[in-house]
Amino acid sequence: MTSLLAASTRGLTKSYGRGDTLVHALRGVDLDLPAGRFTAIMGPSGSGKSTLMHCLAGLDQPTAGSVTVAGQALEGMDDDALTRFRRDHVGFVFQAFNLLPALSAEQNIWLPTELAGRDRDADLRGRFDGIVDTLDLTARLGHRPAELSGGQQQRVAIARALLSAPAIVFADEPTGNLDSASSAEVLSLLRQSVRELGQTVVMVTHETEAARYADDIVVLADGRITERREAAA
Amino acid sequence: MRTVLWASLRTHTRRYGAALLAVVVGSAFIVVTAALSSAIRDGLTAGLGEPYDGADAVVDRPSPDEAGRLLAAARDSGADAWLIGWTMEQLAVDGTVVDSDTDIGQLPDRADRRWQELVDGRFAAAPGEAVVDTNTATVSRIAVGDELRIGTGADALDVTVVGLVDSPSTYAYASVYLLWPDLARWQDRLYVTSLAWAGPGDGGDTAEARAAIRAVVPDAEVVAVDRFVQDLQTEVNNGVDVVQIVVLLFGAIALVVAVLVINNTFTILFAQRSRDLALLRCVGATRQQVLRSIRLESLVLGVSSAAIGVLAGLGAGHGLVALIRAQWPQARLGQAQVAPAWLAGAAAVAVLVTLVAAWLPTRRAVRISPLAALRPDDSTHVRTRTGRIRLGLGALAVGAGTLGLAAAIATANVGALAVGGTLVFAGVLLFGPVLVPALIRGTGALGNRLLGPAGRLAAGNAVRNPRRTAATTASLLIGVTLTTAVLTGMASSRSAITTEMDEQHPIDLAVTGEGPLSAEVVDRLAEVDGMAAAVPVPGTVARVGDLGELPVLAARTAGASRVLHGGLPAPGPGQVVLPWDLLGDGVEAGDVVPVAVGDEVARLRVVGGEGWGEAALVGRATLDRLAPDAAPQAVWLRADRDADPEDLAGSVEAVAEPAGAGVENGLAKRSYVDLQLDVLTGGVVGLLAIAVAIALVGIGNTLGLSVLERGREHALLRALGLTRRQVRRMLAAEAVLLSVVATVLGTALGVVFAWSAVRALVQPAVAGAGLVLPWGQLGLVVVMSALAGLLAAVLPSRRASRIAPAAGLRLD
Repeated sequence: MTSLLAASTRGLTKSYGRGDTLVHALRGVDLDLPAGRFTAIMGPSGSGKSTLMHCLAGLDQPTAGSVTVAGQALEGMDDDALTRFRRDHVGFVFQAFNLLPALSAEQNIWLPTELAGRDRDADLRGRFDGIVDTLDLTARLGHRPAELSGGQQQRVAIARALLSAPAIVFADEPTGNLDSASSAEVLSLLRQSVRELGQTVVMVTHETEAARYADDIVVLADGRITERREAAA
Repeated sequence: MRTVLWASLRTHTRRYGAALLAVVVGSAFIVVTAALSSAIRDGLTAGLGEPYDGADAVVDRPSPDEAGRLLAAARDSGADAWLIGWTMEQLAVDGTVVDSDTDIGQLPDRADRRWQELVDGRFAAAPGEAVVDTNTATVSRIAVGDELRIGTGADALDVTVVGLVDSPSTYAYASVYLLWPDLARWQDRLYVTSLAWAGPGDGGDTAEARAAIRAVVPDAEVVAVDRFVQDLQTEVNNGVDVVQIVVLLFGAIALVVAVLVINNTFTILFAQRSRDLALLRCVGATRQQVLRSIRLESLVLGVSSAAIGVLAGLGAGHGLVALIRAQWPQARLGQAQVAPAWLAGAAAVAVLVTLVAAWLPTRRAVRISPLAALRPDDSTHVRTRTGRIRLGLGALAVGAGTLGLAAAIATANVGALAVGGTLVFAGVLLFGPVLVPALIRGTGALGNRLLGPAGRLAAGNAVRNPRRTAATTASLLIGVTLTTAVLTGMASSRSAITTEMDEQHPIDLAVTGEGPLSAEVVDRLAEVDGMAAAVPVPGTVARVGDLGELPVLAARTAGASRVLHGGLPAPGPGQVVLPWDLLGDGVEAGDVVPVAVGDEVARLRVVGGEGWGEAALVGRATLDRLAPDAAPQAVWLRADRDADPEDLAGSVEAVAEPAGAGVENGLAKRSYVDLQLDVLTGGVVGLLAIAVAIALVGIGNTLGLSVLERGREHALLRALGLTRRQVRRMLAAEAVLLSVVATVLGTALGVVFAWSAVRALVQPAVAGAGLVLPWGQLGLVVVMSALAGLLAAVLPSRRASRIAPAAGLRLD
């Protein structure tokens, strides 16, 4: 009865510092993220939402507890293994500075697959063309990030995140730097990828407007989940 | 990762520019050295064998007397002999002294033995005729037909120039060639390198020649011609090798500085690219992939700078050789030919230097955590703390180094000096991140009022990243330390050498007559332009043992102290002091010889000495006994401090010659040594200047890169009210602070090293040698480096001040 889980955590705990400066960012978080849904993680600053995302993405090691993504347990993986895992199974969209300034939009989109050494076979090319078309980036492929607007940069980042068909796409405040029109565009594109491509998207945000685009909402406070609900339609 | 590699090379090459320049300069230096030394080698070894063409055997370094005997023996037996050697004599052309020390050599009698090539006129055919080297003729303006006077006093010789010649062999070269009967008058003063012997008839035999030679000089060193020429070539090559190694040492110093500059540049650049690198890691690049990519980047940079450096070096080297050959043909430079091995070596060194310099920064760059990409803050604050291990090692190095220096002083050991000095320096470098910021803060505090708010900000900026500040100043520190050590060491050595020279040549000009000198002559000598003092010396002419007639002078003369630079030997009542030149054949130091004036004979013990001309010195009492009413026989002269040695010699000769007196020129010898020291100091400092220039480029580079980094900050400052000019002043102050602190620290270190070197090496040789601080030169070094710091800051500060506050503050 449980749909496939894209990711899950059990007793996830993360603390920083020592003695006087000891900070408990996460306190024993249990979370299941179903596949094919758009989840928004919300909370005030200091609630631990970014830390939760870092641990889910394999960017940070938890102090205690377990993390499973796409059926694989992340604890015990060394840096190389985690890196390879990220390359194949995780996509990223950040608030700012998503792209390598020296590369063109097209080169930025191909980057993770190039790092993985994957062949640009017909399938992959087809996927590339499809994504670029949907995101309306065809005219911008040769441009450098400096020549793109904020909204266009985020779209390139989304394209990069989607190209390798990852198990899960993490978006950290993706609309933080954008005006309302571009924000709406980016959020609806993310939702589109969930609806049409069956992608799983997990978005960290503090804007309630943004959360409206999500399917599920998880609220964190002081390192604990205080609320889990389906978003109002 | 290939896309990333090419993209970043394209984007970032400009920022690597200064670092690459350092490597290019270093590798070009190596190639230029190879070109110059090959040209020198070619010039020196060319025609080495020509003077010995046709000989059956060569006598190695015969004494002048042995040479004379062999030449006579050859003539008697129908064989042929000629010597390769020369005497240094004064040369006057048409009455004007042009050189106090010209090399006069022998022109072989037989035309087919002559290795000199005729350029103009004809060869000398009889005594009284001379041929002059064509380069000497050009420099001293001598033409065929000119009258030359060679030497001074009784042995002076007047000859006519009948031809100009060129010598194919640099080794057997002389400025003027005379036939043996003319040259023989200076036989005692000859320096003979070798004598060639050809037996009678054609196709002689080495064994026969050896037998004939040994008959005259039983213990002569006789060598076959081929072997002799070969040995000579080896000797010349070894000499060039030594010079080559020394010059390459300076190249090595420049390259060490380049390593520091590149290391610093890479560290800064990678710090600036840390977000890019973190993003790559986030998106799935493993540490290995990133590491390999940036290492490849440094390899590409290394290879391209190697190629540029080698090509530039070839161009500069060949160009330099061509220039020298065109402008200074008397330098006798041959053809430049850089062996491929040198080119490959220089290229390999360039690549190696880049890789080594980039090794640590690339390793550190990869340790960046992917999380760093997620922070919206784009400033690169790198607050480093100096590890205790580093400080401990530094203390250890300084301690060990100091012990090494102390040991070197105690045992006069060069090796200990070098090791001790290097350890102390390394220790100071390790202490750098603590020492340099402290010095900067101190200096900044001193200049607080002068600098104003911009300056105070500068001091703060310079110290906020101690490691980077220390690394930036390290490169300049090396250059300045070495330069001041050399300058101080040279100044101290110079004073020690001057003391030595004063002892050896205590009299600037000594005019010694064959008979008494009239009061008029004494007065005219005193009145010569540039003369500070003249003292007449009483004496007489006596027959001294087997040496014939010699002027005899009173060593202790009233007023002599006005004229003497050092002490003259004081002969006791039973002694006579004779010049070393006259001793050796028949009369030795320690012998008792009769000194006779008329019927008065004194039997005196011989002591050797030099510095007053060709005369004997006796005590006043002895002179009074031999010649009770002695008139002035000689005049001892002291020149003004800034008198020209050549002009003075000419003027004195003009007075002395008609009076039949000879002139001994100690001033010329002392000023020659001075010139050598100047040239050496200038040469060494010039070579070090290359390293210093690289370091200054490095400082400018670091400043430029930090400006890029601090764009946001500068925009904030401008928004808060710092004017454009104040921003420029802030950066200029930063650069000047860095340069001055590095220079002051380097000067202090350099003086310490020079002091150790003087105590260890110079004092044992020259007692009483002290440390002499060339304040003027040291001050000049500090001022120049401050100016250079200002210059280095010009471009970066321009860029920094142009940031519009709003643009800079925007979040990316």
